[in-house]
Amino acid sequence: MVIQLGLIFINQYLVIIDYYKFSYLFNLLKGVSRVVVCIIAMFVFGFLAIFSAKYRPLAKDAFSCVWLKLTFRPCDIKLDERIKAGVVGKLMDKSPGTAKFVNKHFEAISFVFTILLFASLAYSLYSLYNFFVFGSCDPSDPSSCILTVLTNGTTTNTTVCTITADFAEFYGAECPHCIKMEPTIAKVESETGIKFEKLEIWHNESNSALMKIHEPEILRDCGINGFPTPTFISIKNRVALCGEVSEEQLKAFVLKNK
Amino acid sequence: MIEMDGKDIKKDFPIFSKRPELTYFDNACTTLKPKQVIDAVVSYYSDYSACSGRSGHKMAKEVDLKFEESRAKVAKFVGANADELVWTKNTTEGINIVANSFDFSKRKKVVMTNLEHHSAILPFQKLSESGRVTLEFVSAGSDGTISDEQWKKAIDSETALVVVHHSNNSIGTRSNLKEIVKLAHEKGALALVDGAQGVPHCEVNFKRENYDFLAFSAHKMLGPTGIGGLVVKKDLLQKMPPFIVGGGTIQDVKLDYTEYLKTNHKFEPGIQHYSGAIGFGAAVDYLSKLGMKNVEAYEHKLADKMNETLNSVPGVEIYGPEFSDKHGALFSFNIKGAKPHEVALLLDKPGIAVRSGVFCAQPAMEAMGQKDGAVRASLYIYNTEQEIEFFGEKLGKIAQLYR
Repeated sequence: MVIQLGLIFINQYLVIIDYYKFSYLFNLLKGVSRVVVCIIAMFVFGFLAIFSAKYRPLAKDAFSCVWLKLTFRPCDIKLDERIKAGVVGKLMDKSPGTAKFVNKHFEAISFVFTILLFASLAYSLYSLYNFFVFGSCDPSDPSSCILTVLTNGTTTNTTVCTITADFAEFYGAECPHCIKMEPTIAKVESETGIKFEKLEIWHNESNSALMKIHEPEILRDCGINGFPTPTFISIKNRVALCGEVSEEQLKAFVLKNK
Repeated sequence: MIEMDGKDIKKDFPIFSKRPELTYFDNACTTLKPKQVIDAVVSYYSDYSACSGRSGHKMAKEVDLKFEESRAKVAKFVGANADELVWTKNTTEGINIVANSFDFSKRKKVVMTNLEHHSAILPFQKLSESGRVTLEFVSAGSDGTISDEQWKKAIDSETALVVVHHSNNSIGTRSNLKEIVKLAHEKGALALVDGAQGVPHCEVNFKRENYDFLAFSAHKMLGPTGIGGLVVKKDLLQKMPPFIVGGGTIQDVKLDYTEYLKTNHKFEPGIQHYSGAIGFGAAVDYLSKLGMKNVEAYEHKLADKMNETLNSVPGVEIYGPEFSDKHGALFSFNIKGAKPHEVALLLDKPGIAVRSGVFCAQPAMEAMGQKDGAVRASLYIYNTEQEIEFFGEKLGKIAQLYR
């Protein structure tokens, strides 16, 4: 598909520079629009066919049409016309004006839908990449992501994992450094007026998953990959401070990233 | 004459209870089947599914009886004798038999119109490619008409065969067969009538109308698919050699020589489509009970209404000559600015089945100036005026899309 789209692009470019071949360009674009309908149909009906046998013949036709086009063979099953008739036919009784518009601009509409389809496909792939690499489809704002990874590999909704404060401390309940840091943290909180959201990670999978989301900045700022405790995070600036630190260090971290 | 009503006839067609939304206007392609025909076909398979003309057991004799009984019914329906009727697969096979068994050794010229179905053109075109015949076309212009003068000019003393449709499958007109057959005979030529679109819709009498060959299909007249008839004048039939040979066509077989039957059976090699032939007999019974004059009158009423409806939709262009009493209930049209396939698909949404394309008659549609084809609405006995009104309403909405 990529190869064909590439070829189409090259073709169009070559044709554009040749003014006298304008009609060829027009026909080519028309041809592309027809392929486009088949591509959309292949994705849409392919998905629907998983759940309903009713869509399987259409999915098969769409796949066959795309395959024929990809292999530069003619596709004469008129799938685009059938889809167009299906859409326009449904609109015809309900809204004749809309039906007329869709009927007239069907190829352009399907072209727009294809661009949207590829854009959303690219965005989904990017999100999936983030999901597998960083544990969230949007590492910069995990709360906007539907899924995030738990330590046992299952997924959960982020509503249980949202950090509401500006600063967070990831700690382990039995971690001696964490226990030792408690008075220092309390002092810095009282002096600066900020509050750390304290998230226990040794026994709480949701918190542990949240920490994993911040792994990039922990790795960057602390040079440690994993779950060091205690770890202090600035949600706003996405910076981290790790381990048993002095009051001055913690205070400076807070004031700098407030 | 009885007053027919498509609504009552519909009750005999099980398909309408399964598809109540169906408005079937694709009858020129194939018609729907009444319960009587379906029962006859099923009865063969469930009650006596043996072969005919071979075995001597009781069940085989029952098939013999029903098979030949059907032959007699169908032959009588078209005004011929049973021994003049050859069972074929369809009209196409009937025409191919004539093309390949006809003696073109003395005269080679075949005259036909440019409005013929591919099934009539192709067998002779193939012969002309090998030099066995020379083809001459009598051409209709964009109005779809052919004058008697054109026929007179084309049919001459060199003409062996005139091939002509009874009723046209792309524009619904009827040929002036009386004149054409007379002209052919005057010049010593024979006439092959393609009755595919004629026999189902009006009274056709092979003997009275003096045709030499008549080919038609069962499925276009309520019968099963895969069965048709070719009627050949008895003296011609005896002289013509068989086209496809095999079991059931022979008198005597030696390793180096075979003597074929002289009867119609010589054109029916191998096991036949018994259920089809028996179903065809039932279809003919059904139509005979209605009366072909009544069928014709009812169809004319529908055609009148369809003509009025199509003309009332702005942007619709009907092909063929002006509507007249001789027009069948078949109309080809386009909506200005719309592709025929699109219109057919849009009509299909509310359940209206029509055909689009060139209807296996590309030269005819090209003569009409419609090389991309048209939409065809063809009616039959179970259609109603209400259906035509519904069709008109939907067509009007479709036409609006292209204004």
